Amino acid sequence: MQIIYHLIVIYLTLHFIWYLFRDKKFWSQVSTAILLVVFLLRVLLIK
Amino acid sequence: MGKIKNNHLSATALLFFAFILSLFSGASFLEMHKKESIYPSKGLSERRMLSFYFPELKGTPGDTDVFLFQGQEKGGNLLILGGTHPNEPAGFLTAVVLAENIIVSCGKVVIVPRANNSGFTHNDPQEGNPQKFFLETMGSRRVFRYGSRLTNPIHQWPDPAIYVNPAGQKLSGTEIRNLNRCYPGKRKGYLTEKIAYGIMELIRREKIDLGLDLHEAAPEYPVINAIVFHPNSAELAAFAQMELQLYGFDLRLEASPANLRGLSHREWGDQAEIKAILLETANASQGRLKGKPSSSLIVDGKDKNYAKASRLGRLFVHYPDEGIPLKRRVAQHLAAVMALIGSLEELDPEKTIDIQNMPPYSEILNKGIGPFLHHPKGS
Repeated sequence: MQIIYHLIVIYLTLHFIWYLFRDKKFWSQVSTAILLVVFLLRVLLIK
Repeated sequence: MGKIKNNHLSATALLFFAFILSLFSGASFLEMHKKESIYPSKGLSERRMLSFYFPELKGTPGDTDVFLFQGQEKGGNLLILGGTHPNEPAGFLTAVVLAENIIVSCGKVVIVPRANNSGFTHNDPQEGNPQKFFLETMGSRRVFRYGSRLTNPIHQWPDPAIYVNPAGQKLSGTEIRNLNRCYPGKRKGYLTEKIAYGIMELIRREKIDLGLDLHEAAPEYPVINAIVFHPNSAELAAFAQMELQLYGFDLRLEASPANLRGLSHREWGDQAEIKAILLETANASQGRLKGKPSSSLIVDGKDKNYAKASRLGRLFVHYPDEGIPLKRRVAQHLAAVMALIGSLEELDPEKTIDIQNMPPYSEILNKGIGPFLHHPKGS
């Protein structure tokens, strides 16, 4: 089950990074980056 | 060579910023995974892990310390469980105070201070609760974690929409991570169910006669300042209640409902056939009406919202302006433990449990918890 969890979280994290680079509006990028923090913590199984 | 777009530059900078922020917040969250030390008294006979009773827990975040205090003489066997819900600190601290002080001369006392060890490794999201609280001992300071009611989702995932617990009760999905809904546990279940199974194995193998599960509740919750008892323990609970009234603690009696399954006070009695009691005190820090969550709210229990709600008659417990401090809640639990041990002896003299060096509840009320906790090693 942990592998499935990891795959879902990594998939979403990569999507956030992809959109971070695609987005043209600065404040949209900031909100994506903040959300990314939570997902990075999840990838590392910290929180 | 193509020109680097502005949004790519800002994205790179923000990605770096996100990594740095995760580094700092990650270090803070990881602190919660470090167990605080418990310094058992010289009366300790053996320190084990719960995996001793159920090896499948070995190496998992559900494995937890078990302290055994065996007396010279044969008598009754008592289990004291703290930390079933790590956001109810009086239960956990009462177990710690007992483990750090008692010497058993007759019978056996088994203490599990962090019943749900995984619940101590995180906080409830969106509650703004502190990760730790502090208690002054004689000349030093001890730090204790303030955890969550539920197992950490990084240790057990996903939650189902509806949880049918091992006793067959239908509950909301998140309750699959609530240790006190998972009894009697499952050998091949989720982590929380395995912890419950491990505790049931401990009860069976240590031949426990009386099991006490120490809890707290929000002041607006109806089951508060209460002794919740399995039907087989009604007389025991009634005797203890009378004795507690003599000590100045007014606890109500609540019978464990027959159709509310999966809880310690029901399944320990039904499945392991021991006397089962759950104790509740009033804890503002886990309530919905509280003001700013903080370490001092946990320790001092002062909250003007609860005092006002109490004046308006909206609570199930009197909540004074000076609050209900942690020392009073721990003293109440200790008094209840003493009263229940005394009542057990009265009802069945063969089940006598004689404890020396038991911290007196009156001294905890006067001096606080600190003098009954050991100094952190190296301080």
